[in-house]
Amino acid sequence: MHSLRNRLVAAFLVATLLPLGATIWITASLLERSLGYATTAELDGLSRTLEATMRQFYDRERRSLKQDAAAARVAATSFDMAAAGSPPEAVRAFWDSGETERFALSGPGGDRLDYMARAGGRVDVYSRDLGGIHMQELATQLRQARELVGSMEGRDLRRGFTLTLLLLVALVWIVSLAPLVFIAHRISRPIQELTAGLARFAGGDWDQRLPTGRNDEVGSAITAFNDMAEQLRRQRERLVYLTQVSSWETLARKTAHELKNSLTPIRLTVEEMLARQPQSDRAFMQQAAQIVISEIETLERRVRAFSEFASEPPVNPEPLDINAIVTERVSLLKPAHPETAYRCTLDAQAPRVHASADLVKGILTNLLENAAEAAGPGGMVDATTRQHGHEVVVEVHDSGPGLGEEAARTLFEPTITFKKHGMGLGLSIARKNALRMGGDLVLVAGTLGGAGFRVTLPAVRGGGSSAFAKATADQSDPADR
Amino acid sequence: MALACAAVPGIVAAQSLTVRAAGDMLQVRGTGLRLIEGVVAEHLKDGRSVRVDFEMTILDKAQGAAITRNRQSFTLSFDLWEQRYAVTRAGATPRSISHLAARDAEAWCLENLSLPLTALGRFARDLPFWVRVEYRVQDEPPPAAETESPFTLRTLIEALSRRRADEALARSFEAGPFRIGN
Repeated sequence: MHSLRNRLVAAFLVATLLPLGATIWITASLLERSLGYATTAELDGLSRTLEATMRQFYDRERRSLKQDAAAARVAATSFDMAAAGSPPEAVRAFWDSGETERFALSGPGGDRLDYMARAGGRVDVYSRDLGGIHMQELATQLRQARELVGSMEGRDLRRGFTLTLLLLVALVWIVSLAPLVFIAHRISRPIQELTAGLARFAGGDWDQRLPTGRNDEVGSAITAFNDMAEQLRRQRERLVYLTQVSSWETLARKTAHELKNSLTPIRLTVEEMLARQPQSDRAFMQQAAQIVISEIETLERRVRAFSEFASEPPVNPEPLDINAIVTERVSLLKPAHPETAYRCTLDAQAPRVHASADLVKGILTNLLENAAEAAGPGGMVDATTRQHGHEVVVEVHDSGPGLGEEAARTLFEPTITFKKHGMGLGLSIARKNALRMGGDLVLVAGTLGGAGFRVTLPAVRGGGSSAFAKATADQSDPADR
Repeated sequence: MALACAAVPGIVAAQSLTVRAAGDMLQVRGTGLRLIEGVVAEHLKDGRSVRVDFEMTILDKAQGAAITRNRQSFTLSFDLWEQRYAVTRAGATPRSISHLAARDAEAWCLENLSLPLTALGRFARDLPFWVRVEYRVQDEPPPAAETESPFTLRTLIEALSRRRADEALARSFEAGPFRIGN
């Protein structure tokens, strides 16, 4: 699963190998040419010729000095080896060697030739200047030249330079490969994570999200994925809820129809039975009939509620000033719950919503009524509006006891009630209508310690902000009762 | 006590080594020792110095256990103009000699490989012993630049361009039995 990284690395290899090979070839060719100019062989030949020449010169000087010594053309310095005092080291070494004669170089750099001859108990030394030719120095230079030649002959410089070049190039190449692998890994890893996230999301993990934090194209792709996943999750929830609501509506419609069909004859029969009852027994019968009719009326109210739940009032969306509607609903609620405090925090920049006025008012009335009842006397209800992307959010929070986990889970299912009055269908109807307008109604964490509901409604594109809120924002009392 | 060295007939003749007692020292001579020839002679005549590591071992029998041994290193050089060899014995008391012919230089090395007779223990009295002489020839390495780091481009090129070094020339001679008698 590292194909992208591997491809990046392979691209680097392909892209660099060709110029690298060309560079090595050019360098090796230049090296080959330059080594062709090496002068080792010339130095070898020159040193040998010089050595031979100087040896001839030395031999001639030796012969000449010996002849001159024999002919007494050169003065001798005699050393009596039995006498006290120490002769020069060279003389002593000659004397100890037992040889009859010996030649040796002396002077600085060997520019003099000495001829030592044994004469009884003494050594005669004849000396001659070599005309400024430093034979020992020359010998040293010849030795260095021979060492250099030997050193060159002991080396394959062509191989050495080529291997060094290849080694260094390979080293540089490998060193540059390491950060490339690292970079390729950094590039491919988020894409792999994105791919894996998509796979998990496609496999049913609707809560799959990826960490963002990059400002490049990959970061944009991850952000787009997260947004898409959130949208799909919400759409899926809405679809599931609407499907459930549809089933519940069908059930409610059939139940209401059947009950309605039965309740009408029952009511008529009971009234007929009461009418035909003799006057003497009518008191008991009237009381009993009243009880039956009261229960029938209760059942009829439930039937009407079911019918209302099953009905789908038409959605006629139009641009609405949501801040004005919230303010109006709160104002209407105050007389019914005078002991409760109300606070409206309205976003003056919030755009108009594209929704049906009757449905929006019904939703807000339901939420505010519930909040006021939950908060109770002395409690507080908070209504806020704000823009969130292409939607407008209305939140209603109360300071009531809040909702338990089980209640929160089944809050929007019909026939559940937590109030003294009502059928328990209000929140179901409110959410259904919000969904039908392209918005939603969800339970959120309460900011006042109780429950909190969030209504989202689609904003009008380019519809401008709430004119009502602009006019009233400065006059609103945060703790208005 | 006058010492004389007598080789057991038949065995010494087949060997190239002979030994003799010189004072209280045991000296060895190698009649067949051809150290300065071939590559060694070429190197020397090129003006290069050659180091030779000698080891003389006294054995209790042929290929036997060592009784005592002496190691000595010598540096040989060649005088280009006189066409003569010079030898320097390394060690605590270095000695030098020059103006030698090749065979004389070889003999001088062996002479300086002597062992005190006392080191032979009971073999110095009447028991036969064997002598093994080994030497190994090595080129004197050129003096290295002291300031040069071992990790430079030059050392890398040097290392990669070096041809396979010739095996160090090494030879071994063994002879015996010898006996030191009155």
